[in-house]
Amino acid sequence: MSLVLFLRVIERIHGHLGWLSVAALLHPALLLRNPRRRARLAVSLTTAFVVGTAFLGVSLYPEYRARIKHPLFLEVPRLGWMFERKEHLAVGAVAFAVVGCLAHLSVPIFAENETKHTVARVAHRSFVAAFLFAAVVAILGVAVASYKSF
Amino acid sequence: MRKRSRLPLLVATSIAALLSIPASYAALRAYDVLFKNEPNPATIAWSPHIAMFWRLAVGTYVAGMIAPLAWVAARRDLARTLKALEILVVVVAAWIGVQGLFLP
Repeated sequence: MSLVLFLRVIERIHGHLGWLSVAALLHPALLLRNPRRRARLAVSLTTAFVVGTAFLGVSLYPEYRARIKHPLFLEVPRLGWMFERKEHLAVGAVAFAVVGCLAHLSVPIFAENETKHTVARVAHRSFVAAFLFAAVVAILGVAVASYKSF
Repeated sequence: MRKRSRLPLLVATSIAALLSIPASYAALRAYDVLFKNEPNPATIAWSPHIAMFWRLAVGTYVAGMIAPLAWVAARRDLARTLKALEILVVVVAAWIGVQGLFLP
């Protein structure tokens, strides 16, 4: 398998996992509205999904810079800047998914009800933020990938 | 028992440290866009400096600096620290959202 084909396959997997991550993030974003609700497995799997997708994206990034970024900015600068936006918002999506997971899984270790509820709200807000960022990231990713790929 | 009583402090510290990573990332990028005269990306064929990774590394370093402060704050008043983190989640999300969309 040539390097370009390999990169193309990884890019496709990354893109599909990205959309699946958006769908997965919607689940805790809706479910955790109720601070008493527990969804440890769903939250852990969702976060693992998001982190895995990000890992693939980060591993592709040096090759994107070497092979795509320059021609993309030359041909359609608007799409180049879209990809830049995607990068920044992806950092937010991953960070908030991890914060949400940590907060949700740690709710039982808090003794008082008030602190439990506060941590549960931190988890919910984090997953809502992660979902919104991930949705924009996925849309921007499709816009760029439909124009230029490896 | 003592270990268990420290766990909530550790969680609050970790959340604060994690939130500081996207906050620092957005601040660094906003600074670059607003105050640095960057070359047009279309004119640069390749550079060994990957700015995104550098910003993440600096963000992780900042998280290491925030962690002891958050630990002290959580030990003094855990409930108030958690309340502050609840607000910070929204502030940091808005911050990196605005930076990501308007200052790419």
